[in-house]
Amino acid sequence: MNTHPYLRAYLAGILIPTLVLPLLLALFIVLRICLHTPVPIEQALVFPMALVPVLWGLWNMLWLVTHMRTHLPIGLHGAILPLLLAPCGTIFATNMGVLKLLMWGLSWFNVVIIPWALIVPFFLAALIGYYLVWKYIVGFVNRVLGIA
Amino acid sequence: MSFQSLEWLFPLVITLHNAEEAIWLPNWTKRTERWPVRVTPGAFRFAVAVVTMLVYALTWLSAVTGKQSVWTYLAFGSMAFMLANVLIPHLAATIALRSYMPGVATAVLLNLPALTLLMVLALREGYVSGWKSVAYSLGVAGVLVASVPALFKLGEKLGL
Repeated sequence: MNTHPYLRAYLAGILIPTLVLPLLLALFIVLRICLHTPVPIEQALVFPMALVPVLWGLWNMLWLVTHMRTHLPIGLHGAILPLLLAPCGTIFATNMGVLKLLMWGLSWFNVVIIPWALIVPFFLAALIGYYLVWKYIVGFVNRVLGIA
Repeated sequence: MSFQSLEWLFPLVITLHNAEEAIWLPNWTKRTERWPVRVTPGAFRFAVAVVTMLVYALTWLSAVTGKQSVWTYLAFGSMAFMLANVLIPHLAATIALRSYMPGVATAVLLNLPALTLLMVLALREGYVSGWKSVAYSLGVAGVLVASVPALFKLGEKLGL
């Protein structure tokens, strides 16, 4: 297991999102096809389904490149990723007409408005969630694949 | 493509740029004798993290307050500062010291085009205008130049 460490890091990184995305797909099918929800949620799903696994893989490769220099624990490294995903997702969603940033909150599909008072704790929870997933799951997979 | 729809490019490119600096710059400053600033890696990364968070906060406040707000002017001033940062110190130090200063790649490939585009769009669409934008740019630059050494000292006091 001494060869292709970056390929192994990429594969370890994409494991979790590729397991989670079918759940999102199932949710989409239930909401859009079974319940006929009149909101084009597929527009919001394109970004996570297309880019998030790739970014997780690349982010784990970056950790492999840099951790000898920075000594940054993998959990903290993973917790930084939402800071990149959030602006990427915001740019994508605002350009697709999915999302609008308002003074009092986020408007989704011009249907649902989520107030900032809810979004801030949700984002902090996402940071903690990413920290835990990267520390315990991605770190474990890295060790299994011999790159940690 | 409007300023509003692309504004979040600002924190995105700054995060990538600051990440490049946070990873590689501390060791570079140790190796480069002619570089005048000495700072511990932890203190440098602390300062970079604070500046990055500030950029996120400014972008968010600017996005929700819209045209001609103080926050949009402050965000514009930060963009101007980060654009100037491409030349000084990154490109200037790389040329003068004949040593690749970490941050040049992201500064030239990401910050330069993205921030130029955002600033042009902000001016063209009336998000900021006139001498007020110049004044805010100079003001923000002054505050940031003064605060970065203070952040280094704070980071060192925190034992980072």
